Amino acid sequence: MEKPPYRATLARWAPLPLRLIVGYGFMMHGYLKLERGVDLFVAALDGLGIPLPHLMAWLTIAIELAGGLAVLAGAYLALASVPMAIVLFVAIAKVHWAFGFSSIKFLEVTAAGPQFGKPGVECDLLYLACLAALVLGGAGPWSVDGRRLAAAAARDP
Amino acid sequence: MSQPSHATLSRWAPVPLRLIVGYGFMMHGWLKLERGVDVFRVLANGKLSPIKVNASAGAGAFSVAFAANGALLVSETGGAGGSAMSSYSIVSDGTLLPISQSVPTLGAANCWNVVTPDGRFVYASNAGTSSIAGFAIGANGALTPLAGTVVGVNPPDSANLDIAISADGRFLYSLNAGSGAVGMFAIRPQDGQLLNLGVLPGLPAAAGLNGIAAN
Repeated sequence: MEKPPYRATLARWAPLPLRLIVGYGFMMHGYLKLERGVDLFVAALDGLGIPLPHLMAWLTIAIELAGGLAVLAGAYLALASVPMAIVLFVAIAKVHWAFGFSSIKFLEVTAAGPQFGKPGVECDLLYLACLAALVLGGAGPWSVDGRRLAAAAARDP
Repeated sequence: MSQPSHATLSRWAPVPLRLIVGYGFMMHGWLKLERGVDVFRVLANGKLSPIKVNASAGAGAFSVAFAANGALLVSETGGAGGSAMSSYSIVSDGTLLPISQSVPTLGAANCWNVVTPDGRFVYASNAGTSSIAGFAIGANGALTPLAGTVVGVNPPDSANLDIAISADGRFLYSLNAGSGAVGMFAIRPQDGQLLNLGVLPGLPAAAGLNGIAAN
């Protein structure tokens, strides 16, 4: 059945909120690691048994900043999503798997406010699902990939 | 071999999102059910104290009611083994001390429960099996199944969610959300057994009915 025109018009905007949250989220995680001090992150990776922790710390931050920017801009999404997915899989395996599924574990309300437990894999899986949806469905409007596709189509109609 | 077209790939784009969002919401709902019973103390100014989290004796703590003697009665939807009811006493800091733990209701999807005005009996609504279980409440809050445990039966697929008792304690009514009807029962005062008075049809079954009250 043909989609009504308004539905098709709306549907093409669906990737935009995914790009905004995934791109901003990754960039924010990279920025916070820089702000807290890379040495702290290096020590954390060392404690988790990651080889070459200094190199891996900088590589992770670079992937989070550059990958996040690529997703925000909708640029080379298929390529950018590979290292981003690797970072997420490592985070799942080395950190979050031990804490189950939920990333929001409400424990109790104290005088200091709501208290939460250690986060599980939920947030990583949400990011992975968003990346998969963007790679499968395309970057949508206001994207570098969209412009590249349009230019390629114009050259080779 | 030709590569899949962009249109073929893009139609699969919503699937990973549906999987994680759907599973995530369901898991959070289940964890809330499994989590147990949160107790707040009412302060002198009417505000509530910080939450005291208590583990549930059984899985799927769904609804709570107080017996006349202050015991807390909890309906548990339960797992594959079926639904149950537990009772607890409450100490001053909000800690729950189990009295009767996961007494089977011999049914499924035990949603809401209701206590008779005299505090002698509590009834649990097994929505999944369209039946009503009954228990006697002891002086110490212990639950003893009434003879047969299941003391009331609605027609199949009634999905009786909520139940209510009239103010005089003589009659019990069930909201049969699945069939769009109200189940009617008389309560035998000497032993708490229910006498089936039939059903009153005429409610919209697909309207998502959830609650019933009686006076």
